Amino acid sequence: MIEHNSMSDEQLIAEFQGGDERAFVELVDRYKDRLVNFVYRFLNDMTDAEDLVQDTFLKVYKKKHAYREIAKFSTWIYTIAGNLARSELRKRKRRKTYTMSDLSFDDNEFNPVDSDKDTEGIVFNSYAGEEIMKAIDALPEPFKSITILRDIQELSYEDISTILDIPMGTVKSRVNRARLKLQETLSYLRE
Amino acid sequence: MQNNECSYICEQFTEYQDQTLSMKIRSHVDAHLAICSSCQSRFQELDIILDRLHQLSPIMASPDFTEKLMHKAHQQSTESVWERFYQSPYSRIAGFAVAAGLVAAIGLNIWIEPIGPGSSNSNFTEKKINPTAVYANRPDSIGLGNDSLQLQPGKINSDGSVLKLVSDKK
Ligand SMILES: [Zn+2]
Repeated sequence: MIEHNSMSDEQLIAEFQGGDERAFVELVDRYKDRLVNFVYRFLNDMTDAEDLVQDTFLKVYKKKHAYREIAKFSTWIYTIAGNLARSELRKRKRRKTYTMSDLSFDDNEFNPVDSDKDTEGIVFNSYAGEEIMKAIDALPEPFKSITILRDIQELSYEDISTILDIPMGTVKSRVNRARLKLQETLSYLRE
Repeated sequence: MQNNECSYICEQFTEYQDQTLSMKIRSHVDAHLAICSSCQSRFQELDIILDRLHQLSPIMASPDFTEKLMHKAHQQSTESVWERFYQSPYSRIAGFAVAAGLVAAIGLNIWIEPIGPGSSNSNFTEKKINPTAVYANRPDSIGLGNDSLQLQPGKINSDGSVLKLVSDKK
């Protein structure tokens, strides 16, 4: 008999669908840190992030038969967590008025920074994690999701395409736009 | 100087970094970067930003995460069994069945009680009789001869008797 820790994610979910709860616990142990990390970058709050990841796993627990082996388990669970995180963000936005109108971006166009400000030898010397987190937080959707998935979680373009349900070409172009927007947001830190 | 060409070059950053550009476009970007300090700086900045993003300290789930989760999961699955029952159409059917059962039981009790032992209204009394007598008195209504129907007293009742309702009314 194969040990749970040597099974693939897809084998584990199949075992769980067959009633083996230990397979579910193994999946939780594999994904809890990654998902908390992922959701934390959206919500910027550890308690909320943990609660939301718990809800994600509870959905998997209750709807285990909804999983079909047409997608990887990882993309399925990231999709659930991502959807919950985005809906939580929408709820938060409704609750409070953001004063971030000055940080609004346009998906269709990237305007390079003014060359006059673009002095020689610019170095981002002191990007503290907090400043980067603020900049990510200020990114509008869909750039925020894509930055978290690609540049923090380092998922493949293919997985991101499945999670966000957009073509691979769109993923690549959005990754690039998101990076340029992040750079714009952080431009105040230029020395 | 920033112009459309610089915009185009910046749009290639990710694929340039991933090394997925065609040779032709890559050479074009390299040639531009060699002469445009602005795009060069931007590419350097982007590299640094990506490094910082990759280095963000990982966030870990709390040590009792799994334990808390499994507790919630078990709690919810117990609740959902009852929820499913209450929400299902079968719960109504079961409700009706229980109600009908109760009504029937009460009705039956009312009907049985008058004929029970000690009832003053009863037209019947309970008598223990000898099974042999039952056999002997039994009308041969099914058309069998006495020889073919042998009743064993012990098989009729555990104490060897037969309960027979005998009319008191003469
Ligand atoms: Zn340029």
